Amino acid sequence: MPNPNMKILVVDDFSTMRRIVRNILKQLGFTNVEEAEDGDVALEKLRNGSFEFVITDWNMPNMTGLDLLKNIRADEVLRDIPVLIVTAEAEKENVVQAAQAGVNDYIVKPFTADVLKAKISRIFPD
Amino acid sequence: MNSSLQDIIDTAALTLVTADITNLQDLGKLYTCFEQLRKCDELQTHGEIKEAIAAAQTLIKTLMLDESARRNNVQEIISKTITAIQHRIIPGTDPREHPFPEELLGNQSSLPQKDTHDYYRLPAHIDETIFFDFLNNQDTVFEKLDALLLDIEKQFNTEQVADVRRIFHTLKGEAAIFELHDIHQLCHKTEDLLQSCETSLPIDSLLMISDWLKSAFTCLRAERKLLRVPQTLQKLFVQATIQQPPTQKSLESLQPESIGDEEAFVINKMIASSEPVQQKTIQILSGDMDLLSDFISEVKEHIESIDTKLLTLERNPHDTDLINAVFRVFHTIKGAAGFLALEDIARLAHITENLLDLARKGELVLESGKIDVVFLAVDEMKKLIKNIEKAITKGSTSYERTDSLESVIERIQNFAKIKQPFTTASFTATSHEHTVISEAPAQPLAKATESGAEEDTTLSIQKVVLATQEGFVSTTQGQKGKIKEAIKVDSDNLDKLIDSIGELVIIESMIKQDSDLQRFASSRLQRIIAQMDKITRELQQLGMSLRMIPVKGTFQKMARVVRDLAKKSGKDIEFVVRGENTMLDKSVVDRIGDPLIHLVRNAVDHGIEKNSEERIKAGKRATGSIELTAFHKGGNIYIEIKDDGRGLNKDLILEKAKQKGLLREGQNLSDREIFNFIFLPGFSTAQKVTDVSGRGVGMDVVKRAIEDLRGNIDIDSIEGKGTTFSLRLPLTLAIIDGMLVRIGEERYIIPTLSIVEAVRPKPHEIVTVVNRGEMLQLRDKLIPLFRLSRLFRIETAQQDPTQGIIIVVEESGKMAGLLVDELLGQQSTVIKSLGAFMNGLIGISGGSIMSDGKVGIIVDVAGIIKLATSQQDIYQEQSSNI
Repeated sequence: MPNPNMKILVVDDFSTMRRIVRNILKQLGFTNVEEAEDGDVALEKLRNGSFEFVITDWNMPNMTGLDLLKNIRADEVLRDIPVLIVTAEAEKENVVQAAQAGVNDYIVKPFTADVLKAKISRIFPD
Repeated sequence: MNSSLQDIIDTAALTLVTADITNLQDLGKLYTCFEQLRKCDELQTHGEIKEAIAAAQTLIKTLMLDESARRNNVQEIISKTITAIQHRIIPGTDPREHPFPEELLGNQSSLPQKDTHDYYRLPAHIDETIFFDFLNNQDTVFEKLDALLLDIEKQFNTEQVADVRRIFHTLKGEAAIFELHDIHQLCHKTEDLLQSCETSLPIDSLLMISDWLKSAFTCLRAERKLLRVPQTLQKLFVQATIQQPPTQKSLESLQPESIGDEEAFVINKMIASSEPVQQKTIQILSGDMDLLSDFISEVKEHIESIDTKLLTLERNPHDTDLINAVFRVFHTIKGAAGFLALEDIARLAHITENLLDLARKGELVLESGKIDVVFLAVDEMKKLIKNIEKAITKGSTSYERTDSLESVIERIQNFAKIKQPFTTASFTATSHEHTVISEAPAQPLAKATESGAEEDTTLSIQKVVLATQEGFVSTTQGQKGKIKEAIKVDSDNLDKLIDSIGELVIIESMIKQDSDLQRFASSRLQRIIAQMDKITRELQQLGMSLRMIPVKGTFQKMARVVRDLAKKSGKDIEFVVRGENTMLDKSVVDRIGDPLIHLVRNAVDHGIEKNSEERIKAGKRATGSIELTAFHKGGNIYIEIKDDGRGLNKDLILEKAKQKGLLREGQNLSDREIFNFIFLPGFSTAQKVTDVSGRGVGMDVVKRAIEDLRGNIDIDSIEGKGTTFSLRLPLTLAIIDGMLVRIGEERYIIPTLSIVEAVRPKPHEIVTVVNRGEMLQLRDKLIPLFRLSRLFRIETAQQDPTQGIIIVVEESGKMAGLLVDELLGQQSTVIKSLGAFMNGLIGISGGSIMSDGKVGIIVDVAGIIKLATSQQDIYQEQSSNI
């Protein structure tokens, strides 16, 4: 597992969801977590802070998770930040687009700490 | 051969060599390569190649979406595919030497497949820990069951039989939640069987069932394997049912193989409709209550915003932005509910999401009538949320399900013709069927999301335009752009803080007014005190503002009320909301809802004319209008409900008042006073008045509710033109601005809100009118004079009005002059309750701690005016006896 002090940005328009993800991350030992409620805010935060990992929801107003991903990948500075996209079972097909846009992995909600841990270990191999 | 085509193939080959097929990014790149190939002009005519490309893409997609898919040989298969393509486009090579890999085309079964045939998949909305809790519980359940069965074998006991039935019933319900369909059905059948056994039980059979269930749970726990109900058990069942009159259905549904999704669903429905009561209470949580209550409050906000959106949508059923916005709310709720194991909410949100998805895709137009189903879902969601909220407040871990949930879900399902229930993996479906079920709706969904997302950016702009057009002022979307940090605070803590601030304000004014201090304080100390005074005041204001919330939520409810009622009564009504962002103390907002609903309902029911013909005849627009406005004025909040309907009929009200003996002969009343009659209890029950002039039922209740909030209500109406109800409300309930007065040695506080003016009368201004007692002649008005000293029995008080001060107060259009000795000053006071035993005293509404630490009594102006006007005679009689 990567450094527990890794700075993580959780993006979701629903604050309860952000809290859930944050709690799960905390269970896994990651405490340096910030939140953003949509893609615009996320990009602003990313550009102003040294984030090492982004967990974003797919379905958000203003800017979808996919667009956020595309924006990150198109940004000189941010392009290498690993992105994990959260999707609903019914929208799993979206993953194809996300994969093409360069997402590192996806996770289907609801997920448990173990599943997230497995995803993170894969994204950050030792 | 085209070089770009060659380039793509080269890239594909290179990507493949370096690819890690467990890595999503690599798979994405590979997928893109094939997509480029697919779009190549040169390949458009090669049917075989196109087929292979499509098959390769499907293969890659499977790897992306299903992590359990087998991955051996995949690299080789794709590699062979690329080679085969290459050899079909390079002239002079023999394609037969490089065939497409068999695994890719033709023989589908060799493609990577999930080997989840007989494995249990946890439903997406259920948390794993809950599932394990459930499994672990079963040991004790079966221990108990076996013991019961053995007891019953020794001696038949109806109570114990009932226990057995309850065990199966509970298990059945739980199995349904976890989508363990076999177990669910077995329990259902067993339950039926038990129900029909009146004198003895087939103990052997039941023990066998128990044994099978035990092993089924063991398998589930160990390897997540699903056991099939064995033939022996089924035979046993048939035998058992032979003893009872068997029904065709019960035999059929016992065989899992014969049950398709739809039938299983029918059974589910049967169960749901036949036993809603027994399933009422279910467990909700093992988890974080804090998180849950946050979720609930967030969902509430979202749901409230939906109402407005739906109302607008009803007028513009094709507004995809709006549909998307509503869809997203349900989608988000479903997602979070899944984490919190709120199965009911997840299901309801899911089914509504499906319906809205059809609307998004244009397969269903949510026009008037059809949108009712969505409203139905919203209402049901509200009910569920309320029940859960109740449970949380009580600290309970279970909540009451709504009786109507199943029927609502069914209605939505029927409506949308959504066949599959909320299961992605159905037990009886083979894996092939499963793929069909889950993939069919997903494809268009993905497309819809994509297009939806692009349109989202224009959402807020369009909404505002729409809002003005429609007369709806909705700022929900407009505000989204502003990013504000907010912290959620426990409202109890907030109240404590405000209480403390209140005490601080009192202490501060005690210091400020301390006589020693005023005598000895240096100018420096006085400056510091002045500074402290300023800061305390700021703190007080800030504290108050913390409790302030916009009236928007309540107003949105009204929009819904108008819509539903207008529809029911077939009236065409435009509802306009203004000033919905006006802030008001939360406790006021919470309590203003019911009276507002009442007034709005009256406006629709009785205010607006029965039909548009009547309106047109009266020279009005065909569409009726109801306006709800909130605004600040002079430290108060005003809420106005204005309709352009028939207006009140003064003559009828007067006639009615005369009948009731509320009017004296020759009494001249202002319009306001006439209208105020409708607030009298029982006044409205007269059929004639309610039918013709309309207003009425329970207006006294409305008035009382407003007065309880220390506000008042006024009517302004012009016959034939419409009626306006204005509510004046205090900004907050915790603090009032009061005028401190002295009567004899006592001090009282009169709420500044009610004070019109204060005068020292000249002798000729005090007149005694026959039947009405002492009056104050104030300019051209006669106002009853009321001696507070008599009510409060203060003997040292000034008896001569010309030596005292008369404070003219007004409440609901009625005035009175209160005689006091002296005005001491104005101050904000924190209201304290005098305790239950002092409740309901006439003339007193509460107490307050004064700057010297003593208690001051707050005068209840409304009560006093009532005494001063309606009971003037009695008072006069009393006073003449003294």
